[in-house]
Amino acid sequence: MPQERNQLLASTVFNLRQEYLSKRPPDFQPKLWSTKTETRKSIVITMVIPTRGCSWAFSDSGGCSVCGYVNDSSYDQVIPTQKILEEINLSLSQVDSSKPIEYKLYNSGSFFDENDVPQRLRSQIIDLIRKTNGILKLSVESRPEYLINNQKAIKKVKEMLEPIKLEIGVGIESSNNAIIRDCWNKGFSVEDYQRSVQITRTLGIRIKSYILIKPPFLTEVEAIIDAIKTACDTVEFGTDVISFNPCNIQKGTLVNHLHKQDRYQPPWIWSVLYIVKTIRKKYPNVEIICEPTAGGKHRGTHNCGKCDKTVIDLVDKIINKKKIPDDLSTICSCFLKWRILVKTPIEIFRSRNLSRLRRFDPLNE
Amino acid sequence: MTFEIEKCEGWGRLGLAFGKEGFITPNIVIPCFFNNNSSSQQNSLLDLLKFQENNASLTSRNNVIMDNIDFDYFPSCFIYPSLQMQGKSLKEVTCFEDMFPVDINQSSNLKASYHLIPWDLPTIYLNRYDKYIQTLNKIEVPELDDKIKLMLNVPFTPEILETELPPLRPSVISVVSLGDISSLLTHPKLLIRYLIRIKSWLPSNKMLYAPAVPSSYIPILVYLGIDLFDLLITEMYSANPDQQLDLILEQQKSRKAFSQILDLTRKAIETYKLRDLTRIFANSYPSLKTLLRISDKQIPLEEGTPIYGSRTLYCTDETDFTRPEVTRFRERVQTRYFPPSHTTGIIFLPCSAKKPYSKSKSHNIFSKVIRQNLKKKRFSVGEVILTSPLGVVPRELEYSFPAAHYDIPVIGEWSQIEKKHLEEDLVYFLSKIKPSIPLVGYVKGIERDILKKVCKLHNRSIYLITQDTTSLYSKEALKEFSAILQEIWLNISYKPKIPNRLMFLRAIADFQFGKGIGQVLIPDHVKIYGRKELGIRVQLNNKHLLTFRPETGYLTLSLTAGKLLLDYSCNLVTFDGQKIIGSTIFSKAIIMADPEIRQNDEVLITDRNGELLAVGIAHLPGKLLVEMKRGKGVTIRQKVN
Ligand code: SF4
Ligand SMILES: [Zn+2]
Repeated sequence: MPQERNQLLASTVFNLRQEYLSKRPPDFQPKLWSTKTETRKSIVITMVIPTRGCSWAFSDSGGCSVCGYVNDSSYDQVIPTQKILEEINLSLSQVDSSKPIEYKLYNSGSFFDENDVPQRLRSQIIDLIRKTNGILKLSVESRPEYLINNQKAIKKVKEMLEPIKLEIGVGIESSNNAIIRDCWNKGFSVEDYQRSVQITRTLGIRIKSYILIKPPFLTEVEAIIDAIKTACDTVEFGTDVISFNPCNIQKGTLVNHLHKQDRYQPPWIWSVLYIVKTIRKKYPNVEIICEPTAGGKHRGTHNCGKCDKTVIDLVDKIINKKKIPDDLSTICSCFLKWRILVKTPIEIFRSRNLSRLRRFDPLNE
Repeated sequence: MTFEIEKCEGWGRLGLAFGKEGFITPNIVIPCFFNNNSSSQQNSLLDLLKFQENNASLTSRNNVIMDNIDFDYFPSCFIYPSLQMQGKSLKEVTCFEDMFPVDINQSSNLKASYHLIPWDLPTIYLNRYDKYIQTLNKIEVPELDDKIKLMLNVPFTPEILETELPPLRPSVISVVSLGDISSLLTHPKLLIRYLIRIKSWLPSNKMLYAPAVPSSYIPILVYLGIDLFDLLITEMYSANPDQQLDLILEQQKSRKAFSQILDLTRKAIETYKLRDLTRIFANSYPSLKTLLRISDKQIPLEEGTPIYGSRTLYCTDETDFTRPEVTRFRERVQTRYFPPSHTTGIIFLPCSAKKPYSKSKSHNIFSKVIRQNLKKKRFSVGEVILTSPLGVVPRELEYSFPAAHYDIPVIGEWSQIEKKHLEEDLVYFLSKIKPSIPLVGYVKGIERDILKKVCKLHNRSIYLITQDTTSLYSKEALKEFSAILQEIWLNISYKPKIPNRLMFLRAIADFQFGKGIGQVLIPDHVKIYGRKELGIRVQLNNKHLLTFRPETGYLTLSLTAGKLLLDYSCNLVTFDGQKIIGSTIFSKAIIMADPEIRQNDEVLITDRNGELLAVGIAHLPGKLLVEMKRGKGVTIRQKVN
């Protein structure tokens, strides 16, 4: 079932990944961390646990071209099962249950992949969650193939959790098979994603679709078009939540490699704003998430450096259906630079020195 | 391929694309971003971003007249989304039509259009250009309308400088776009290497397109081989309010400046003044200047530089000391000029503003003194003029381009490089003269210093006039000159007179065709009519042999002369046929040509068996005569009946 891969891309990603992982010190401590935020309606706990790590990233295809999650996973070490369970327990015990809890449990891979999260550990975790009062929803992540192949396990988890809702995040990134294969190196196809959505939805599970903004190699405007088209397609396929993730640069990845050569630039926040605005307008009732990692930093989505925070706030406003100024050029003059960049085809001719193009001073490169 | 070259200079070409109905190059193309109207989402996107302004659908293009530029006049360059964006993979592509999101033949109602072949992103970004081109070479090419041509983007990468690009299948592409060139404008060294790379890979009948470069770069980029430009940069600037511009750059903002500079550039090629135009613009930015300076060292611009052309050759700054005309002259004097065997003395003289030198007042005075003092022996004494930037100019070559055509600012100060050049040339010259031959230097100032220095270095004695001479025309100085000439008179032997004009013509023949050719081309028993300044005709056995033309300082050949030269295989052009009809040979009928042939050179045309068919003048350099598939090649002067 995995889609045919792009040999050139896959081997490049593989080599970069191996090179990075081979430099990991033997006493490396796999990362485990959590955050807690309070919204008007609920308390959101995000817990990131270092299980084995994504099997796709360890495969000879090297994993997705943008993803460095495996860097923090257990990988060649023993999974610290005990610690993981303790931490989850701790995070659950600390909340007072005045507000319902949304629990996000991310293992930087697939929750339903036995090699990544051993079955025993999975049941232990589900057990802890299930026993805690006040949890409204559990979010996990998985690649589509485990949703298609492990239907039984998923069904069981879902039943165990009742009445806690289960939400599964699937990274489709793009609904264009060529981009999935030749830019993201995802190793599955849109059809796989579609099937996994169908299957999980019939089980009464919510689907959250991750859409990455700005594939490597594409121009800014192509990236915008691709993200918008993908968002529309996922809604048509029946996703419940759209999560836009502007690309950020992670270690050991192809994107990092390209970024170092100045052949990749994370998207402008203006692009993110534009995408979110378009989708919000088209689908007023779909839940949209966009919390850019490293937003405003060089390795994340950014603008000129002056307006970054303001524009990220605008993204938030749009998601929450609040009004934003009509004329964006009043917010920052870099808006016009961005507009030129998406309007003039110069970017399509070029494959390097992209940060300079972004700064936009053709005679002072 | 429908590209022909009318004239060239350096790597620059004045051409005609899309045949007689087409357009002149260098010129502007209008990039059009193709948008796929079938997708509603994309449409709304384009609406919101107000893309339409510079967008065009394939079937109609708005006839925009802006700043008096009729945009319909220029060819379009359609830019399509990458293969991946179109949801395709390179592997599945079998026919070129598959690579485009629409049928590109739809655009045949436009006067001319280029279609940029979409990228396969991973191969481009992961530096596998070779793989990309190999795949393209295998793809089937559909029947395309005459007004539609394909364009390939080959952006700069450091890897491209190191790896060999596989040859492009000839029929596929008409234009190569240098996608990254705008990022190299301030990196002249890389830019030059990139251009050399592309030029050595691409046959001359393909055009080059430089996207998004400022207008002030046009002349030099044309000189370095670019044929097509666009107005993208004006769009970028005009939409960018906080762009800080130097005053001199203001012109980048206007589309009008673009078309004016292009116009100027085309006129410059037509009148053999492109190099001069590049110099004018080179002074705008340090990087432009660097570009011009290093291009002389690294690019064989001489190959494309006509043997003679404009009526004057201005040398106004240090970049001109190395311009191809100057370098070629110096090299040919070094390697092709040898003082006649009967020479028993050499007199070095200064240059004069008036050209040829012998027509100047000062040289008239010098000649008089020489005549009075050396009498008949003067015929076995060589005269050599020391000058900048040509270095050493033997009297016999004073008419030959650019010796009678150059013009320099006279300040009386020489730069290091000028001095160095003269020193080099003098060393060469002295090495060709027997040590026993007396040398006289009737020069002052810098020329005197250099002459003295070089002679000392090479252990040659030389007669010089006193150092503090202020004027070479003063009575005292001329008296000193006479005294020196009297002194050497004893050492010079009188050799039986060989006709001066014969030596003159042979020296030019050597200079023009190669060392030793003079002897072959002009045998002792020729009859010579006319005078240098009015032109000389030479007959051999009552048949016209050749003509000396004082305007260019070169010889023009007859068939008789052609026969004499045939065995020396210089300037040979092989014609694909038995008989030449009409007065022009087109480049498509040329199978082979001596790579040493330059524009305006005299050439011999033979058939495949080496039988002489005609003599004529080359319209293009030898390399282009072979590589071009259209356009004039040689104008026939005389042919076999
Ligand atoms: S994005 Fe997901 S599937 Fe891809 S490598 Fe990372 S964890 Fe694995
Ligand atoms: Zn800004």
